[in-house]
Order: sequence, then C-alpha cells, then structure tokens
Amino acid sequence: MMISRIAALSLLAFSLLSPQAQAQEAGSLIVYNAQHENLAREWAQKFTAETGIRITMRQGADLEMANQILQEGEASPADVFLTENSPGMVLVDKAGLFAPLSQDTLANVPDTFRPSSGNWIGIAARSTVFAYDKTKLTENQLPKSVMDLADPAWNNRWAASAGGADFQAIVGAILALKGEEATRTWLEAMKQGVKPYRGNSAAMKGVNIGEVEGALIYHYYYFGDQARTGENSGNVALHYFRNEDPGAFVSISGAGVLASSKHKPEAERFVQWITAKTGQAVLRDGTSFEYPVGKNEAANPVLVPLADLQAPKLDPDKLDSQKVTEMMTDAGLL
Amino acid sequence: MSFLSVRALSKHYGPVTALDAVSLDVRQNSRTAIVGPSGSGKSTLLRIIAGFEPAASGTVQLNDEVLVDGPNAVPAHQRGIGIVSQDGALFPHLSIADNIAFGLHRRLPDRDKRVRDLMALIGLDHAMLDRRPHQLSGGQQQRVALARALARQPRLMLLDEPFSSLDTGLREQMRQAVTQILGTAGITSVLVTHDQAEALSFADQVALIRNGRLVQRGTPEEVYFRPADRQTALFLGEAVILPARLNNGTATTALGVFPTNQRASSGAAEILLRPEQITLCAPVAGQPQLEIEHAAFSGANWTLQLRLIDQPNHPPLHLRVSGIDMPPAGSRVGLAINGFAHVLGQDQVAA
Amino acid sequence: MTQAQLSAASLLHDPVGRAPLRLRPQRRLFSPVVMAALLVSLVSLVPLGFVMWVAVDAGWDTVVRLVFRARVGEFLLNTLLLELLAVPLCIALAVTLAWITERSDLPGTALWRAVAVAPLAIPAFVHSYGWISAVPSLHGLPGAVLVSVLAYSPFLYLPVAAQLRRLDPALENAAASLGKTPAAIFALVVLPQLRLAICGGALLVGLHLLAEYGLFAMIRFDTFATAIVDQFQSSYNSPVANLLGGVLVLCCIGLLALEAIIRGRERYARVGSGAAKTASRHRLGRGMPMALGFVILFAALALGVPLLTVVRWLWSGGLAVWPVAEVGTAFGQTLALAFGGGILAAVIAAPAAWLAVRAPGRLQRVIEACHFYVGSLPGVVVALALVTITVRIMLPLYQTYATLLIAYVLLFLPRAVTALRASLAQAPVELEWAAMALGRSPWQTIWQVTARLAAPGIAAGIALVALGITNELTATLMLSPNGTRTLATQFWIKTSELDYAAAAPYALMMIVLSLPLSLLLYTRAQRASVR
Repeated sequence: MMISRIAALSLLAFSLLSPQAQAQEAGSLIVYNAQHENLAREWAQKFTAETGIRITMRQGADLEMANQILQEGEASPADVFLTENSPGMVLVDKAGLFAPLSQDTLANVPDTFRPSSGNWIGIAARSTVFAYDKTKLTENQLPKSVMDLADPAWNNRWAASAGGADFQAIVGAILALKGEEATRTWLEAMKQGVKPYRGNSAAMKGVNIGEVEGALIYHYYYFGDQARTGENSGNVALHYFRNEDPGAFVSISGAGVLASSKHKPEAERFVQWITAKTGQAVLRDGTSFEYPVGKNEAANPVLVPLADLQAPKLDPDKLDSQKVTEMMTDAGLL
Repeated sequence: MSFLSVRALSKHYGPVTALDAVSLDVRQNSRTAIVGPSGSGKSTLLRIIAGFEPAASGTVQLNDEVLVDGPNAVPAHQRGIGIVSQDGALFPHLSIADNIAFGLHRRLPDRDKRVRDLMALIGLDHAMLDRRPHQLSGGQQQRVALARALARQPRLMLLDEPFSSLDTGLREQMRQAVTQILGTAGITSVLVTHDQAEALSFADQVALIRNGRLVQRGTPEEVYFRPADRQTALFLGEAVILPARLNNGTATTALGVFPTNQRASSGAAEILLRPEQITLCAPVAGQPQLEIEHAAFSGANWTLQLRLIDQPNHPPLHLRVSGIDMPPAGSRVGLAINGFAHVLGQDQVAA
Repeated sequence: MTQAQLSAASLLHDPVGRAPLRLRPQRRLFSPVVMAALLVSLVSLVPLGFVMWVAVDAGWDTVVRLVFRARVGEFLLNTLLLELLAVPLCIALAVTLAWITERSDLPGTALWRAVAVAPLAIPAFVHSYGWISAVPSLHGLPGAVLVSVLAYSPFLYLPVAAQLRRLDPALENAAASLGKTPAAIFALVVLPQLRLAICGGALLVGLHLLAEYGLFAMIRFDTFATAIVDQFQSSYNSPVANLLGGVLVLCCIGLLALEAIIRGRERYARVGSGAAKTASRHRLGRGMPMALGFVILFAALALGVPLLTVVRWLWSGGLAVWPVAEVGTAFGQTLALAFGGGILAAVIAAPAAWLAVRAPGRLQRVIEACHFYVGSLPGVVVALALVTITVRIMLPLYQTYATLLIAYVLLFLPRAVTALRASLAQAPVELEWAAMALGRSPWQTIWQVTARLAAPGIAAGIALVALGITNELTATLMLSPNGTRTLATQFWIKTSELDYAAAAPYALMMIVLSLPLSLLLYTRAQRASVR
C-alpha cells in the first residue's frame, strides 16, 4: 500500500517537474531542433536576450522529428520546428500540421528558398560537395557528376553517411532530377562501392586520414573544421559539381510554426527573427558556415558565393523523403 | 476459567496440514509447555497465538477477548503478547538498552529506570547496556530478549524454543532463571520445545502435539507416567513397554505380574514401566530371572542388555539403571517394580 | 528476592490501558505485496508485448519484406561474429586477470584488483571515444571487439575473481596429492568450478554487446542497436525500426536460452557463503615479469587510453570548453535522474524481492522471471515501446520524466531486485515478529526494522541502478522530456559533430560520477566474498 503510494507520488512529482509542464506558461517556446545544436542555441540565446521569450530545445534529426510531429499530431508540444534539410519540412507540411506564415515573414526570404505553400520558410542553405584527399587526387581525377560515383572504378574509394538526413536529401535531389530507375541503379551501385561512415564529420575525417579518397558531404563541415583546428581537414579539398548536376544540390534548412502551437505569435516571431537581419547575421559571422538565405544577406566571405554554385533548380516540395528512405532500405543502405 | 483458550484451531500449508483442530486451555499465572517432535506444528500454533500467521479456522481467546476467529484476527502488535524466540531475535542495529526499551513508549517518563530495573531483573550488569547484541553470549542475549518482552508487561509470554541454542549446562541454569523471573512477574507463559525434559521441568501443564494434533495434556507427572499411547510414552522418556494380559487390576507379563492403574480393563494390552520404577535385585525363586548380557557405563547410569532366561524367544530388554556396584556381565538378577504399571491406549495419531 | 526484582515485579503488574481489540481479515499485508509485484511484472511485459504487437500489426508480408533481407543478414552476421569473438576473449582476459590477482603472488593485489574493476567506471562509449581519438583508423569488427572486450571485462572479472577466492583449496590439494601438475589442476579442478561464474558473467557481456549503441556507433560497427537508432533518426518509430527491435529481442532470448542450456540445472553459487579458508597463492617465479606486464598492459589499454584521451582533449580545449553552467546543469540533471531512478527502482523492486525472500513459490518465480527478463532487453527496444505507447495511447505520459524513469526502472530492475533480495535476507522474519510483538504495526516494522537492516543492500542497489542510468544513452535520447540534458546525451551530441574537446568535460564528469558508485560496488563485492 505504502509502496505503491510512494511510487505514485514520486511519479507525480517528476511529472510535475517536467519542462513540458513548465513550458506551458506564457512567453516560452518549445523548439524541435534538427539543426546543429550550436547554431540553434546561438539563435535561441540571442532571441531570448532581445525578446525575453524563453526557448526550450529538443535535439533530434530531421526526419526523426518530422515523423515524431506526425505521430504527435494535434497534441505535439512543439511550437517551432527547425531542420537542416527541406524534406522534413515537406513531410510535416503535407500532413497539414504547419500554420501558414505571415507575408511579413515570408518576405524576408526570396521565393527560391521557400515553398509555394508559404507554410514554412528557408532559414539557411548548404551545398553538396565532394570532399577529397588532395594528396591523392588531382582535379582531373575527380568525378564530373555525382552519378559517376556509381562507376565501379570508384568502388571503395568514396564515403558517405547514408543514415543522415543530409545524405538522404541529396538522394532526394537525385530522385527528383534523374527519376526512380536511375536512382535505384545508383543506390545499388553505391551499396557495392561506398565506405559507410556515421555522420558527415566522420566521413570527412576518414578522407583526411587517408582511409578513403573522397566523401559526399555538405560544404560547411570543411569550413567549420578549418576554423577550429583543421585537425580533421588538413588534407581535404572541396570539389563543387556545378552544372546543375544533382551533386550541386543546395539543400534548404527550414523553419515552420506548428498549427497546434498555443503560442503562435511568439513562435512566428522567432521564425521571423531568424530570417531577418540579426538571425541571418549569425550565419555570416558565426561558426556554422552555412549560407544565409535572407534577401540581400551576404555569406561568410570564405565561402564560394551561393550564386556561383550553379545549383539545379528544385522545388523543395518535390523532395520525397519517404520514397528515399524506402529505396535506401531496399538497397540495403539502411 | 481459562485465560488463554484455543478452540479447534486448524492451519494448512498447501496440501500439508500443520494444525488439525487443536484445542488448548491455559489458566492465568500458569506455565504451559507445548512439546512435540520437530515438524509437529507446535511452532505454528505459537505463531498463530502471537498473530504472526493467519489460521484457517478455529478461535483463540485471551482473557475473553477474541484474538482469532477463523481467517479474521487481531494484528500482532495489538495483542499485548510477548515472545522470546530461539536465538533471541535481538535487533542487531540497536544497543542492549535500545533493544530493551524498543517496546516502551518513547516519552515514557521513567523509561531509563525501567530498562535498568529490567537489567537487574534478568541479572545483567548495567555496563552491558551500551553494547551491541553480537558482543553478548548466547545466554545473555536470551536474557535481554526476555527483558525486552517483559518491558511491555505482556498479558501472555510465549517462549519459542528459547533455550535450544544454548549449551547443556547453561540451558538448565537459564531455564531455572526464566521460570523464576516469570513466576515473580506473575506472567502466564507458554513454552514451545522439542525437549521433553525441558517441558516437564518448566511447566505445570504439558501439552503434547504430534502431526498437528493435540495428543494429550495434563500435569508433567500425568503425561510422564500415564502417557496416552506408546509413541507419547517413548517421546517423553525412556520406557520399558511390555505386552501384557490384563485381569482385575493386574498385568501379567514376561517380567511377572504387576498391579496396574486401570482396574476395569481386561484382555491383551501393552503396559508401560519407566526405568525409575525398576530396580535390580538378587534373583528370587518363582520370579522371572534375567542374565546381564552386556553392560555399558556412561557415568551416572549403566545401560544394561538383559536376557530372560526362561523365555529364550523374548527379545532382550534394555534398561537404564543407576548404581555404584553393578554385577558383571553374565550375572543373574531379578527385577523389583515400584508403583503401578500404566496401561497404554491405542496410538492416537500415526507417526 | 532482591529490591530490583521487587520493584520490577510491581512495575510489571501495572494495568495496561488500551483500546478494545478489533478483528481484521488477515493476509492484509500479503496480498497488496503480491498485487504490487504482479503490477510491476505486467508493466515489465509491455516491451515484449509491444514487439509482438508490431509483428502482428505489420502483417507477415511486411515482416518478410523488412526482416528477411540482406541488410538484416549483415546485422545478424556482425552480431554473431562480435559475440563469438568478444565473449571468449573477454572470458580469457577476465580469468587470467582473476587468477593473477587472486591466486598468484604478484605484489600489489589490492591495486590490481582495483585496476581490473575500474573500467566499469568509464562508460562504454567513452572507451570508444578514447580509442578513436588514439587510433583514428580503428573501426569495424576489430575495433568493436577490442573496445568491447576492454570495456566489459569487469562484468566477468567480478564473479570469476569472487568465485576463485571462495574455492575450497582442499580440492586442489587433493588433486596435487594425486599427482596432477598445477596446469592440469587448473584445467581439471579450478576451471570447472568457475563455470557458473563464467556463464553468468558471459551472459551479461553478451547482452551488453547486443544492447550497446554508443560504443559501436562511434567505432563504426553496424549492429542491430545502431541500425535501429539509424532507422529511428530517419523515420522515428517506423515499422522497420520496430521490427528490427523484434529481431533484437529474439537475439536476447536466444542468448538467455543458450546460457540456460550451458549452465544446466545448477544454480548460481551464492555470493558470500564462502569457505573461510583461503587458498594458497602460486609462486610466479620467472613468470613474474610476464604477469606484471600483462596487468600493466591491461591498465594501459582499458584505463590509460580513455583517461589520457579525456585529459588530452581537456588540455587542448583549455578552459574554453568548460561551459561551467551547461556542464553543471547536465551534471545536476544526471545526478537527479540517476538517484531518482535508483530510489524508484528500489521501491518498485521491493515487492518482488520481498516475495522472493519471504514467500517463495511458483507465482513468485514467474514474477521474478518477469522482473529479470526485462533487464536483458536493450534500451533502444524499451524506449521504442514506450515512445510508441505514450504517443499513441497515453499522451499525458508522453515526453515526461515519469516515462523516462519507467524506462530506467525496467532496464535496471534486475540490479535492484538482486540487491534488495540479498539485503532482505539480512533481516530475518523473526526480527519482524519481535517488533510486532513489541507493539509495532506492520508498516512501522518494515520501516524501523526491515528497511533499517536492509539499508546497506538497498543503498548498493540504488547505486547500481544509478550507475546504469548515468551511462545510459539511447533511452535517454529517445524518451527525455524537452530540454533535458544529461552528461551522456550532451557528450553524444558533441562527439557526433567530432567536437571531441567540447565532449571531454562531459566524459570527465561521467567518470567522476561513476567512480564512487563503482568503488562502492567493488568494496561490497570484496566484503561479501571475505565474509
């Protein structure tokens, strides 16, 4: 009797202490964050300092959190959802769980970096690169297209983090640009030829220590490491595919306000703030090395300008994350 | 008018019957011993009286208050019954003083004085009050356990084999001490033991339990000299049991004809003689004569193996006698019987 | 009669004033305990029920499509190779270490014993972190085997060393008198007596190999646990993740069955019922440098590598990576969760432990089996089950500390039951009876006598659970309420971005928290085997 009473009491006590309960108070937001934690935290801290609105973050991966929001449905505790790539956004948008953003907010970003629905918005961009070992490969030995990596000549020479949302977004681009058949063939070749790594940083590190000659990753891992100690990128150079190749795919990080949020004005304020000047300046001046997407916002000068990347034109709505996961699972990559 | 009254108490452990309709009465200010072999159910009976275990059916009343009525019972801590168990069950994390005071109310004004009085009562030095139980000898621990139980001024004191873990010498001494203390305090007590000597010397009422059934109860003399059946007779002490033919208050046996304590019976029966009733004497003509086949000396006693000379088919007789000059093996002797031979009834419960 | 006797006698005749007695139905104390234990057992069956429901819900075709495919075959092969290599190596390592510390005359026994147990205080994924920092190219099966053998050897060393200490030297002397060489005696007499200890320890290591995520993720070795987390990250609780969880549960059950077959009908030797005699120690003679070299090498690999890595990253990161407030918050949250979970586990394990000591029987054995099986499930499976159940049908419990704590309690229930069972045996029922006869109600008795006497064992149980929670990663990642930051999750987030310097403070704090808990367990194990 007493035992069960004690157990019930302690459960109750812990439930009451839960931040979820705390977050119900006004002036406090819950953000499901799939962006890099450091970047999101910098945004959150500066936003809180300016507005007094407190932010509690839950850290996760793009599609994990998108699917989580789908499952939570109306009951989701999240107010804002931030991703690294757009497929997670699309998933939630298609389920009709985003509240439309105001024109004011949408106007912060050119329409290439937001969907036609206006239910979410781009907050940053990142370019696909082939990070290679400059001590082993010369420029003319590099693949001309990402599709070339399917060539058996590349077997066991290139790396990727197949489990990550970043890579799955790249596959989404291949699927959208080259069609299902070509993508399936490419994935099957990849299964034979790729050296799997867990995380883009780890893949780049593999290139740097000579385990593998190149890795299909995003650009900022290189610049981030160079800005720190360069320890994992000393031997690495970046190859941009350009020519509207699927490998030149620029992925859009997104933000959206949940329709179920009980703090929509504060939530939209946060999204607006990120896409406006101060929020975008964090991308330029901080350590994230992602591209800002705000109108007239300059990127960090060490980066190749976004306009020079010759990225393929892609409607973010066309990236089908579920199909990608299915096809990668079928190919034995997941 | 009985103080403790147990009526038709039964208890089962699964298919095993531990107690089978046991009834028992205990007078106020008396000492009762419940004796029986291990596994007979005597400890179960004690635990039900104390309130540690539920009964299946039957009642227990103490001083006209119902403590147990079938599956309903008064919780142990409200019964006001003291208990001293086999190894004392002193709380190892408490000092001797705290052990004794455990049952006393925290704000009792003369708590310390009571503890000291109880220490005096059990004959232990006050210096021991601060010690821990493991620093005391077995006998001292038992005394403390008694003091601890007495501190509550229990209406009834239960003693569960309290002396069995003590050395033989200490055991006797403790038994006397406890008997005296309980007598002084005037507390009704029930002792459970498998040791018949302990039961007989402690109690003024002995109850015999076998296989969950109460076989016999009475004064120590009654149960010893007039046991209900053969098993009881053998359990309570050494016995010479002989087949006999009863007739008009006498029993005719291979050892001769003796008076019995049962005039009415006649026909074939078994009779009991206790060794204390038998003395060796010179062979007498006309009486059965025996030859000492073997004599084993064990200090206070001799154990003799005797053969009946006239009846070669009769199994040899084993007899414990005391004496300083024992005839050598091969000698012929006669036997003298004092008192009555007891006629045994049929065994009441199979062993 | 003395004066004291007289006054005591008069005092004893004071009338006892009390309320009239009331009869109550008995078995009052008994049935709530059984009910509570049954309730815990039911909850412990939830993950298994979940896995079965997933299989049924998905339908046979989906199961075939998602489970019977090449990738799952790879996981199975990887898992099998890992078990077949790591477990025997771990046994060899632990038996050698145990023999050196318990039966050889190598000086410094106490130090080497501590060295053999100390890897326990370093979370498995911090071992990995140490190794990939020291040898960046280490990965795949060789890396997984090396690191897991080093990290998990204490699980085998502890029971084997304890059993070696307890062995009756008379048997070995008898064998020697029959003309056997020391090597033959070890093989024929000593090793067979270690069988139960080895079986128990090997089972524990085998289950950890199945359940561990962080260690293998970092060393880049794909197992079911890493695949489930990958799937979770790409699609939350998708059928693929859930079905892989089902396969993993089958692996665990297979391992339990295998161990039961090898162990046979014998029961584990009880800890603490040892012979008082101590066995003689073998003279190492010229083998001394080799034995010394062995233990020093072990210390260097199992302790030196991870600890030096942490120190190195702390040094290179300097004070800048010490965001004191954040590390402090994570430390505080970890401490609260670890001890909150530990205390809760002790409370929840109490009914089953009580039944095991006071009312053993058929029902009790079933209850105990429920309590034990759930602890052999990987954290990722329990977490998947709780995530799905709370988000779908028990939303008020979703993302609460209550759910996280339930997961912790389920995962570490066996530790709590074992410790409580042993500690309850320290409080014989006669003492409870004595207390009740002295006027204490049943609950007062439990609190003042039973709990008091069992306290050291309960504390050890809490410490064991707290140690497990401190180093738990997957369930914490998946179930934490928003805003939760434990040392393990923060360490994991930092290392995922290869920010090893920023991860170092969290690794250090985990070791700082685990060290006293491991020490406590070590000294208790020592005492138990000496007694």
